[in-house]
Amino acid sequence: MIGIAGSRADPVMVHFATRCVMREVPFAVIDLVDLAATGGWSLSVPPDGSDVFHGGEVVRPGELSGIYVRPIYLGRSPAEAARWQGLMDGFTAWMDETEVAVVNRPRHHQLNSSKPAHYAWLSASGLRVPPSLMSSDRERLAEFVRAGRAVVKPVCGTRATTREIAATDVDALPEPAGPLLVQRLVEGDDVRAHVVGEDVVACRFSSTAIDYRSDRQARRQRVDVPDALADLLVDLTAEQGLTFAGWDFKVDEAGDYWCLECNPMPGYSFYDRVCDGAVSDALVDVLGGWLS
Amino acid sequence: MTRPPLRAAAVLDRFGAQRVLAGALEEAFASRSIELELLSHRALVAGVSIVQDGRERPRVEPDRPLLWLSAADPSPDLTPDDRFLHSEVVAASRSIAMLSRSPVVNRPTPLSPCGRFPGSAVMGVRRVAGLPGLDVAVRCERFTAMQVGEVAGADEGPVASGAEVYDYATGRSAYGVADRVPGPVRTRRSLPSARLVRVRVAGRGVLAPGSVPRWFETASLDVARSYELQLATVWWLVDEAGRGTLARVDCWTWDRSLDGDAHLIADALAVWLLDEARAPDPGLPGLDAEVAVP
Repeated sequence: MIGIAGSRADPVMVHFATRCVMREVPFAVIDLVDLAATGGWSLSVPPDGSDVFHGGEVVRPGELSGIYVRPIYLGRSPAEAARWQGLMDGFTAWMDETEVAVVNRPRHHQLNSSKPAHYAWLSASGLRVPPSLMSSDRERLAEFVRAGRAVVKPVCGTRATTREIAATDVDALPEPAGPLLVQRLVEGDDVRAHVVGEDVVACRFSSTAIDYRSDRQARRQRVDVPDALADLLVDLTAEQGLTFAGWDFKVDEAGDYWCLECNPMPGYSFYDRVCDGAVSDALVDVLGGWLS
Repeated sequence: MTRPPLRAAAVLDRFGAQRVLAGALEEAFASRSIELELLSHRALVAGVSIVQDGRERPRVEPDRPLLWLSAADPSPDLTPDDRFLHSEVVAASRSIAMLSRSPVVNRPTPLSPCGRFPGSAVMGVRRVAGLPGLDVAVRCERFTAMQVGEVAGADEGPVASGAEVYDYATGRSAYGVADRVPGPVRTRRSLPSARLVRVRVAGRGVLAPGSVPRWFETASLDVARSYELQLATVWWLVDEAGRGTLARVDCWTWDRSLDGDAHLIADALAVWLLDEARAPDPGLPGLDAEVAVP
C-alpha cells in the first residue's frame, strides 16, 4: 500500500490519489495538516514496528511500500506551528532512516530556493543555462536589461509568474528594493521534463506568452527529450538526492535546450494531464515496490 | 611591495543575539590587521552582485572572505510583502556565500544553510552514528503526540519516566514528565549519572574543559569536519567510565551560549581566515566547473 502524506487541500495530492483510484492501487492518506491540528502520532528513530499515525485513518508507516510526501504548512497560530514542528521533526527524521521508499527523502539539494547557486550547479553539471545577474545595483541591472531581452524572477523558491523586464522598469524601482534576479530571455517553446527514478516524462508547450502557464491557448503535447539529455537528467536528479524532480527548459530555434531550473517538489498535476497520467504511473511504480 | 590589508565580512546579528560575538570579532580581527565589516544579510546583499554569463564560472562581486554566522536576519512580525523580501534576501545571501571564491567560515552548501549540517537537530546527531571511522554512540529518539482532547490513561502516558523530554508546546526540556502533557514531545533515554560536556570547535582547534579526555576533542573535530563546519559546538554526555554519547551539535553560535569563549573563538577564526586566504583556491566542488554544454 502506498502512503500519501500531505494535505487534502493540495490539488497535486488529490490528483495522485485519483490516479491511484483509477489504477486500483491501494493507498492510505496521511493528512499532515489534520494530524498537526488534531491528530496523534508516535514515531521512533530508528523506525520500529510501533510507529503509527492517528488521524482520519490509522496508518502504520513502516508497513507501507512507499510514501509520497508533500509537506505544506497551512497553520497560523503559534500552537499550530508548535504541533507542526513536532510532527515534522519526527516524520523527517523517520524518513531519513526508514527503508520504506520515500519520494523525496529529506537529504536532498535545496539549491532551487537559492537561484544563483542553483544556476551555477546546473551550468557546472553540463546544462546550458541563460546568462543572469543578481544584484541590488540599479545601474548594473539596467545595463544587463539594455543588452538584450530579459526576464525577472524571484531569487528564492517562491513560485511567481515570469515576466519580461525593461530598463525603464528597473529605473522605476523604489530604493532600497532588495535584490533582483534578471535572466536573459530565451525565445522558443517550453519543455517540462519529469524524472521519476529512471523514467523521463516530458511535455512541450508552444505559446507567445512569456510564461506559458498563464496561456490557456498554449499548444501542448507529450514529447521525448534527446536521449543524452534524458540520461543526464536522470543522473542529476539522483545526484541531488531526489527520486522525483521537474526540470524546466526553453528550446530555441536551433533546437538547443536551455535549462531554467530543477524543481525538487514539482506540482506536476497540470503536466500529468498532458501526458495522460504517465508521471503518476511512474510514481506508482516507484512507490508501489513493483520495480525492486 | 606592501600587501593590501585583508578585507573580510561577518554576517551576523550584530545588534541582537550575537552582539558580544560581533564585538570580539572586531577586536580580534583588528589586532591581526584584518579589516572586518559586520553586516546583516540585507546589508551584504545590498552591496554584492553575482554575474553568470553562461560561459565562465560565476563571479561574486566584490568577492571577499566571509564569516557566515547566521542563517537569516531576525524577522519579527512581517507583512506578506516583508516576508517575501526577507526570503529573497536569505536566498541571495546564501548564494553569495556559496559561490564566493574566498574562504567562508561555515560556508553553506547545496544541502544546508550551514556547512552540510542537516536542517533538523535530530538528524544532526543521528547521522554522526553512520560516519565511517568514528565510533560515536547516539540515542534512539521518539516523537509522540496525543490527539487533541485525548487524556492519557493511568498506565500509558506518551512519555516514559526517566526520559529526556523536549515539549514542543512550551519549548522546554526536562527529565521525566511530572505531569502528562499532550505534547508533541521528543524523548530520549536519559543518562542521569552522565555529565554534560561542551566542546567548541573553532577554526582548526577546539576549546574544551581541561578535564575532558582527548578523544572528545578529536571526535568533536571529526563531527564538525564531517559537516564542513569551522565553528560549531558539540555536546557530549560523559558517563562515569568516561564513555561519551553525542547529545547535540550546534552549528550557529549565539551570545547566550558563549560562556566567556568569545575572544578565543574570534581569534581562532581570524587565524583560520588568514591561513585560508594564503592557500591556493581549492575551487567549489560541484559549483564551479568550467561550463560544458552537451
